[in-house]
Amino acid sequence: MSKKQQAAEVLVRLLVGAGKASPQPPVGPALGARGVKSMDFCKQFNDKTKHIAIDTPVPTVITIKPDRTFTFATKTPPTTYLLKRAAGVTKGASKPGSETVGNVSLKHVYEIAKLKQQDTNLKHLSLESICSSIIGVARSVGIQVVH
Amino acid sequence: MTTLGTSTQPSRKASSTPAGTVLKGINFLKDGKDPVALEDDQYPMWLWDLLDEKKQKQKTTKPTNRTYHRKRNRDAIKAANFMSDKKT
Repeated sequence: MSKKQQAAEVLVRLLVGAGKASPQPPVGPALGARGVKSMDFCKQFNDKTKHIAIDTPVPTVITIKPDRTFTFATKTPPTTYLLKRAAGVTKGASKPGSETVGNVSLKHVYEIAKLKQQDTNLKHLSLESICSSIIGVARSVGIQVVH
Repeated sequence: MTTLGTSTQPSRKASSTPAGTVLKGINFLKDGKDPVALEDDQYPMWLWDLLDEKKQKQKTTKPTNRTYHRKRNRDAIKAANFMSDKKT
């Protein structure tokens, strides 16, 4: 019998705007190169994200099986995106650490942590540890967390 | 139970976002609304200690804490690397 009974499943990580998946880059070539029809993915993705505000970046992980069928899982928007919006900023600091671009309060951090805990890979973590991670992310983006 | 929190706590600074402020930008669903800040008391106690560097460092001194063991392991690895790699 052949050693590889199951050829490796390929994982593709993408950051797609909610409701805006289209066959064009970034989605098109990434999927097309692996033999997946991007239209199929786009329809399913847009359907799944129709309850999310348009253009919100949605990290997705697409698992492509050797027979070219695929499944995908979506996650909550990136923490940097949520933090920048909460601080009312569009771009992070060019020199985080020495430059502060905006402020966010602990209550903001708490609410973001509650959202993040809905993610499957964060469900087992305590809210406290998620909050500490968010404060760390804020530091790396140049957003100051205020009491 | 309710009186314990207010009387034995050392005077804690009031939060910069008073209760009732709309926490803008956090909601990303079409139908949802941005969450509203609650009273300071309604948030868990540990939240207010998160920015206190001293208290966060104190966590690494308790053997019941995961950070304590991770720090110890990392320091041990660094020490072992230092000893074995004599060039640097």
